[in-house]
Amino acid sequence: MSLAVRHLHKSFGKTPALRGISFNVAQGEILAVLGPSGCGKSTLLALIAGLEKPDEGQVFWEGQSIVNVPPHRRGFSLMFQDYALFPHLNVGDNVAFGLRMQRWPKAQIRQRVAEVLHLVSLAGFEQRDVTQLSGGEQQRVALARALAVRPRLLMLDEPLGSLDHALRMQLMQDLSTILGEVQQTAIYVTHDQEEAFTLANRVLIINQGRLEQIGKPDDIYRQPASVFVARFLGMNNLLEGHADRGRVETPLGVFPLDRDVSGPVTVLIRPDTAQAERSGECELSGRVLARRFRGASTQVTLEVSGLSLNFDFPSSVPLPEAGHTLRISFQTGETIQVFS
Amino acid sequence: MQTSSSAVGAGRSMLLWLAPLGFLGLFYAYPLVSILRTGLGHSAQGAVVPFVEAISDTAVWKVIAFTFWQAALSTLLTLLVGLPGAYLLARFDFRGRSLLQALTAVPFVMPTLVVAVGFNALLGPRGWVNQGLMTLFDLSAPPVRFANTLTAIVMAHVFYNTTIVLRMVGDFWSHLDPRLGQAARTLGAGRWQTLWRVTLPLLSPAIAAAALLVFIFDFTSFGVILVLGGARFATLEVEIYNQAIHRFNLPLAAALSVIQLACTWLLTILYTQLASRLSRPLSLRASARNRRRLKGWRSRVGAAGVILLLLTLLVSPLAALAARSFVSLETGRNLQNAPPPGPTLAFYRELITHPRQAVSYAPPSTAMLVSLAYAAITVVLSLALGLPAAWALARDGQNWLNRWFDPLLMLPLGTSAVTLGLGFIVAFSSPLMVFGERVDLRTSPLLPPLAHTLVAFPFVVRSLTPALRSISPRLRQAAAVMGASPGQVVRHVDLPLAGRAVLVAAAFAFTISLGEFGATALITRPEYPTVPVMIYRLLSQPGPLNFGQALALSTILMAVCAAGMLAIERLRIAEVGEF
Repeated sequence: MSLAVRHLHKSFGKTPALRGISFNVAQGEILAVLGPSGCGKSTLLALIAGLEKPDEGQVFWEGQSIVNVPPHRRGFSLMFQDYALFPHLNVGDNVAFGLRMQRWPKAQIRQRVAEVLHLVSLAGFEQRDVTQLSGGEQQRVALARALAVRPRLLMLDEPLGSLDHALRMQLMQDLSTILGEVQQTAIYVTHDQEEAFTLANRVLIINQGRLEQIGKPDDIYRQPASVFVARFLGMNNLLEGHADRGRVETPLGVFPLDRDVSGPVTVLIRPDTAQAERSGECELSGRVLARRFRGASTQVTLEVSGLSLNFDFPSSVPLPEAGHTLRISFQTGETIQVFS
Repeated sequence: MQTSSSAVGAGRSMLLWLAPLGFLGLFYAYPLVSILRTGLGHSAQGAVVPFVEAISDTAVWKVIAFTFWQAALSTLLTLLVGLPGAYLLARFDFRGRSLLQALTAVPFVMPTLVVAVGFNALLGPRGWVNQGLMTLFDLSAPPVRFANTLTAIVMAHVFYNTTIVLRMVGDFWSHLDPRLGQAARTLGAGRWQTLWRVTLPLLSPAIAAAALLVFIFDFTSFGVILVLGGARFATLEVEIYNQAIHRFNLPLAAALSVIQLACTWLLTILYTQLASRLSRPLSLRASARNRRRLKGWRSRVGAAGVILLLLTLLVSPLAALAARSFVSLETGRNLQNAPPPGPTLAFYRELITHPRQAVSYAPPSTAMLVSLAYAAITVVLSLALGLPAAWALARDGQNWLNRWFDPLLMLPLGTSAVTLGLGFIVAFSSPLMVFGERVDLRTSPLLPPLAHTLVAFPFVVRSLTPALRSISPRLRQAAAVMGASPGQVVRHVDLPLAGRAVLVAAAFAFTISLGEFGATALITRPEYPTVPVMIYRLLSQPGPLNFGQALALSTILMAVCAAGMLAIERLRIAEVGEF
C-alpha cells in the first residue's frame, strides 16, 4: 500500500471541511474521490499535497508519516482545477518547471519535456504561449507538467471540470489511456460519476466531510451504501417503509426482504432493473406521466398509488404514450434495497 | 482555502506598513499639522490669528470666488467637449478608434509646464497663430490676445481633463446595455426624450463623479494658472505660492492653505462617495458587444466632427510646441541674439552652450541633470515604500489594518501640490531633532524628491497592488507541489510576474517626478532647479532666445514623458485602478 490516510479532520474557522476520513491507495491504483461541490474533496487533496495541515489525523506514505513534510519535498504532483499554468512561461518551460526544481541536467529536461508533450499529444508545442492555448490544450499542458516529474502520486482536482461535454468525453478516454500507460498511482477528484466510474479502479464517495462509501465502481452502483449515495447516483425512487421479519411494508405494498433488518427504513426501488410488460416476482401498474427519450434508454415517470416513480427501459422496448397504463415487473432481490 | 487567520495577517501587515506609514507620518501628516498650527494659531508678534485675518479680507474672498468660478467654468466646458467623445468611444466602432483612445492618455503624463508652454507656442504672442497673422497682414503687435486671459486657463484645463470624462463616463457608458435605450424607443420615446429620460439619468453617477474629479483638478491647478494667467489671475493655489515665495508671509500662506485643504478634502470626500456608487455595474455585457459601426452620413459627419475636435484639442498644443522649438519666427526690431527666421537648432544649442545671460543661478543643462537625479531618487524611494504597502494590501486582503490604511494612502492625492510644498517649508524651517542629531532638511537638496515621492506614492501603490493580487495563490501552490522551495517560489513565480508591475510603477514615479511643479516651485533650492522650474524661469525672462529655450526644454521633457507613458501602456497587465 502506498498512501494511507487516517482519521483526517480539518476545519476552516468554524466550518468543518473534513470530519474523519480514512482510506488507502495501492501502488498503480487510480482512486476517484466523488462528491458534490463543497463536500471537502479539494481540501482532502490540499492535505495530501501538504498545502494545508490537518487539524487531526495522519497521512502516511509507505508507512512513514508525511504530515510534517513540506509540499515540495513530498514528490507528489497536483493538477489544479483551473490548471494554474504560469502565464509568464511558455509551454515547454511550464512542463520543465518541476524538473528544473529537481535540478535535472538541461539535455535530459529537454528530452523529458518532449516525451511528456508527446504523451499528451502536444508534441512540438514547447515554444507556444500558454495564454494562447485552447481549454483542452491547457488541460493537456497541465497534465504534462504534473506527469513530467514522474510523481510518486498524481492528484487531479476536477481536471475536466471546465470543459464542454464533447471535449470531456474525448479527454476522459485519453486520460484513461495515459494514466494506464505509465501505471500512475493517482487520486482523481470529481463531482461527475461518469468520470469517476470510467477512470477509477475504486471510487470513494464523500459528503459533508464524511466518507459515505468506498469500493469498485460496479459494486457501488449495484449496492449503494446509503440514501445519499443512491440519490447521488441518480436513484430517486425512495419511499418510507417499515421492515419486520424478512418483509418490508411500503405505500406500494409489502415486499419480501433478504436482509434481516427491522424498524423504520428508507426503501429504494431501483429504476434500472424493472421490466415492462413481463411477469416477474412482483408487479406494479400505474399511469404514465411522462416519457423521456435518452438515446439508448428511455425514462418513464409512472404514477403508482399517488407516488411518482422513475424507471429506465431500453429504447427498443415498446412503451405506451403518456396517460396510458403501464404494467411493470421486477425481481425484489435486485430491485428493492433498504437503508436503515 | 484561507491560510492565515485575520490576527496573523494583521500582525504581518503591521511590519510591512511600518516604513510607508512612518514616511507618510513624517512627510505628510507632520507638515500638514505644521500648516494648521501656523494658520490657526496666534502668530508670535500679534494677537491676530492668520486664519481670521485672512477670512476677514475681501481680497482673499475674491481669490476664493475666482478659484471656484474658473473651476466651475472649466468643468462645464470639459463636460461639453468630453461627453460627445465619450458617447462616440462607448458606442461606435470606427477606424482609428484605438489610436484615438491611446491619444487620450497623453494629457495624463504631460507636465503642466509643458502644456502651458504648448498653448503659448500655439496662441501666445510669440506663438504660431499670432506670428503668422503678423507676417501675413504686416502687423506690429500680436492680434490675438491669449496670454493672461481666462480663456487660456480654461482651454488648458479642458485639454487636461477631457480625458477624465472620456475614460470615466465612456467606460461606464460602454457597459450600459443599449437595449435599455431601445426599450424606451419601442415604448414611444423619441431620440432626444430617450437621451434625456433614460440615458442621461443612467449615466448621471458617472457624469457626476467625473465632473467632481475634473472640478477638483481645476480647483487645485497651479502651473497652468501661474504661466497662462499671469499676474491678473490668482487662485488659492497661486496666492499661497505668491504669499510664501514673493511676500515671505508664511502665516497668511498657511491660512490660505487651511482654506484650500478644507475645500479639497470636502470635495475629495464627496468624490469618493460618488465613485463608490460607480462600482456597481448596471449590466455585465461585454463593452465590445455594445458597439456598432457608423452608418449614414449624419452619424459619420457627427463622428468626424467629434474626432476632429478631440484631435485638435489633444494634439495641436503639443505639436505646436514641438514644431515651434525648431523654428524661429520672429522678425523685426531689437531682437538681440535671436536666430534668423526659419528652421533652426539654435534653441537646443543654447541649452547646452552656457550663454552669457545664463538665467539666475544655474544653466538649463544643470536643470536636466538635477531632474534626472531627483527622478531616480523618487523611483527608488517610492518603490521602497510602495512595494511593502502594496504587498500587504495584495497578500493579506481585507484585514482590519488594510481597511484602515488603504484610503490613508490616497490622502496625498487629495492635497494640492503647493500645500505639500508649503507644508515642507513650514515644518522643516527649523532643524529636526532625530535621535539627538540635528537634521536640517530645509537646506537639503533631498527635499524635492521627498515631495515627489509623496505625490507618486499613491500611483505606485495603486499600480502595484492589482498586479501583485493577480498572482494567484494557486500558482505558488502549483510551484510548491512540483518541488519549489518557498525561496524558489518567490524567485520563479512572484518576481517574474511582479516584475512588469514594478516597471510600470517605476515609470509612473519617474514621469511624475520629472513633471512635478507645484511643490517643487516652493521648495527647490535656487542652485538646483528642476526642468519645469527652469522652464518657468526662462518664460519669465524677456527675449525670443529665452522663450526658444523654454520651448526646447519643454519639448525634451514632453518627449521623455511620452516615452514614459508608452512604457506604462505597453508594460501594464492589469488596469491601474481609477483616478
